[in-house]
Amino acid sequence: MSGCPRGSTNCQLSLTELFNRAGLIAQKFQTAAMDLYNEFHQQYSGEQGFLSQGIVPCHTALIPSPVTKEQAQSYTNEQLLGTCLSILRSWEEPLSHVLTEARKLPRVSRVILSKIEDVEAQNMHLLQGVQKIMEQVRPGSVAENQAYSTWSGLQRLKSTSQDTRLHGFHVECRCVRRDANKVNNLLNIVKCRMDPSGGC
Amino acid sequence: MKQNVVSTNVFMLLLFLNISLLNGQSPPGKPEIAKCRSPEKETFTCWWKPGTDGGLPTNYTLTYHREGEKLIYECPDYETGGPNSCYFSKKYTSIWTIYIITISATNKMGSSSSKPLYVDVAYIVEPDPPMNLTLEVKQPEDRNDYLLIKWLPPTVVDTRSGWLSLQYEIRLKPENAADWETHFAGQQTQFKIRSLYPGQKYLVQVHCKPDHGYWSKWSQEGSVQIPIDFTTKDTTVWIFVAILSAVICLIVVWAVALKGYSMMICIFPPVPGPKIKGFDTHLLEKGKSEELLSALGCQDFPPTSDCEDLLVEFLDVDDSEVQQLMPAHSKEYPGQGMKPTHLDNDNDSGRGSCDSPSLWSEKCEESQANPLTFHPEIIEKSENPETNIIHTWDPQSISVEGTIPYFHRDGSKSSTWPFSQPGWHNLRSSYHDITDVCKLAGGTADAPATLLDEADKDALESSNIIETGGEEKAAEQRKVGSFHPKTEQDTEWLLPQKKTPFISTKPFDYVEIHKVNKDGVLSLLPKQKENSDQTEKPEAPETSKEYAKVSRVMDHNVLVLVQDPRVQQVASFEESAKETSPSPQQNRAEKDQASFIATQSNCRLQLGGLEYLDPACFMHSSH
Repeated sequence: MSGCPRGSTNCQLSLTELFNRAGLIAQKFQTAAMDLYNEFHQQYSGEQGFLSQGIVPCHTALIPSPVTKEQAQSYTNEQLLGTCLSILRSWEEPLSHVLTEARKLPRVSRVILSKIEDVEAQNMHLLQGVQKIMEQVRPGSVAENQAYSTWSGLQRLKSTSQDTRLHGFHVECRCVRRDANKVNNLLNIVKCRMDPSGGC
Repeated sequence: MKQNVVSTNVFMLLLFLNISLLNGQSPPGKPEIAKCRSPEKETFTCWWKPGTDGGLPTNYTLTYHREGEKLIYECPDYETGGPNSCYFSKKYTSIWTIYIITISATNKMGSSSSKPLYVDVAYIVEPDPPMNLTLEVKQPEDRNDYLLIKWLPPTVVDTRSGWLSLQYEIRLKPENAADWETHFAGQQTQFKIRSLYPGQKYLVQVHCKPDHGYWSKWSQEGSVQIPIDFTTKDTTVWIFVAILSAVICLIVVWAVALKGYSMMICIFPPVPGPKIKGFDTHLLEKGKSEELLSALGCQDFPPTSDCEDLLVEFLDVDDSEVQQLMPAHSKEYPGQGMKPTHLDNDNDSGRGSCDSPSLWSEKCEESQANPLTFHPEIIEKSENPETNIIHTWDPQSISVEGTIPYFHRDGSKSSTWPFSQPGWHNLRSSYHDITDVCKLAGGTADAPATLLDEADKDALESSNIIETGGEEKAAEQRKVGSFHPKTEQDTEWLLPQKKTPFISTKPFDYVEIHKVNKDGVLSLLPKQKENSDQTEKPEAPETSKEYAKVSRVMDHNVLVLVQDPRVQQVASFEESAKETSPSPQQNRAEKDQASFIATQSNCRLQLGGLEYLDPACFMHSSH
């Protein structure tokens, strides 16, 4: 993997290199979110129980994103990257709250906490990486305020009822797992468009 | 509209239920959705397992709705997926959306529905196997031969646009082998295998999986014949290695031949034989026990700190109270100590001669093992170490004789003392005794000890070292005179008699047997300690104070004393067997006089279930 020489300040990685790195981080992000989901539902009740209570929509559902391959292929690179940025930015605050509140869960395992930390870290890294890519694809666009969703799940997480709290965690785990999967997929589409030789 | 269809169906069912008669038929059993799968993340199919059909033709209906939507839909396609299936084409498939799917079974008698299944198509991808598996043996000139395996992703999966990314795994085995050899190939669509058996026919398969999904089935087998001239390694390298190792061997052999023995010594240093400090095997062979003992006894006296095998601390001999019995002792020691056979007997029961009653008078403080320093006199006479000891003890008020603390062993005569060499017995065991007595006093809860009647101290003094099962014992016992309890072979005694302080600096507490009443109860006296260091209250010897508890009586009336006041032990006498017996023996010396030295627990050795003290420990601890 080529990289910037040590100590250089203005070095710009090639787009290919940026995509390679972002792709790796996106994979880690996806895996961490999947693991978190599984761990949470292993320790607390299974997903069926939570889902049957009614499916709460994710706070990122309002961010326009494709739901089929055809739709995805109709988005431009900037649109796809923009969607990714919005989603990643939308998760910054909720994930930090999830971590804080998770520590207060009954008998919360160290694994779950470390997975949340993992997800939070990968989310941040990926956000930075995609921002760098976006700057190269469309210079100056990142300066514009990328729309992102506000989050109202904190109430659930802080609820006095444990059932509500656990349901709140389930919602966040389910939503972050989905969004990680989505971001990884959309980035891959952009990557294969811009660099078809790299394993597409 | 779909919704209307559904409600109509339900209405009809209810109608049938109400109208039809029951004639052995029943509504259908509950169906169950088995699984839903998507081959390419663009469409998906669900399959269900029917329940019982209730003896009537049963219809199955699949209904679903999506998260955030209220409309309920029915399956768009029951055919494409085969029987008991529902196929969702692209038109009906949304990714990153949860589907809530329910299946209902209906017959004339009624209907039943399954539990809803929650499905997100993004996570249910199970691709088809890879396609076009090709196997090719490559034999380049300048490199090793290898097998190149290539394949293509399944047709329907779109990896080119990046919509789905797959990982691959290949497996191969020789034609008739049982087990497959699996290799992970990552995202690439080819793989190289190098180490194969020439002339063998191999079978190869490949399968794939999306990032988060299910593995596909294995592809069709491909087979390939490896040519005979398939080189797995570069032979020239091996020839070179062989020559090099031959040369090295030659060099080594030559060096060994030249240097020979010295080299062997260097490489294989001889293992030193066991050696006892001061022990001259030749003397032993000659049978001159005197010399042997002297060699043993006075080599290194007092033992220096690195004489670890000298078990005991050095005794501090106090000049002020020289007491007794030299001559009596000297008689005994030769008889007792000089039996090489004792070496063989494993029944060396702590013969020691703490013949000084002063031993008992010393306060033993817990877990203190002060080094016992020997006076020079002891070293002088190396002829008769035992005698010397006696001599030295006496003038310095150390009468080792009097104290024979030793551990009783039940039946199995395990050596109490770590060292049971002849000749050393007396000397060492005396140290043993002293320390052990002190230990006993201090805290060896389990250390069995027997106390002798003080009345017999004179006689006892002469019988220091007693071996279980030895004649000496009998002799000892006889000398002891009337002594309760019985003087049998296994009886062991302690002879704490003299009041002279034995060890000036040693914080031992000793007890002496005041009397033995007719019930066999021993009343013990705490020894007066005259050491200025001690802070214990002196006791009048006449005052009978029982302080030790007998924990049990072993065979042959050996009393096992438990002394540590801090240790709560229940005493029991065998003969008297009187409940009252133990109580008089209550240890009143919470404080002092009667406190034995508490041994460091780590100084205890366990032998055959009994606890022993390792004097070497004290040496260490004291230094």
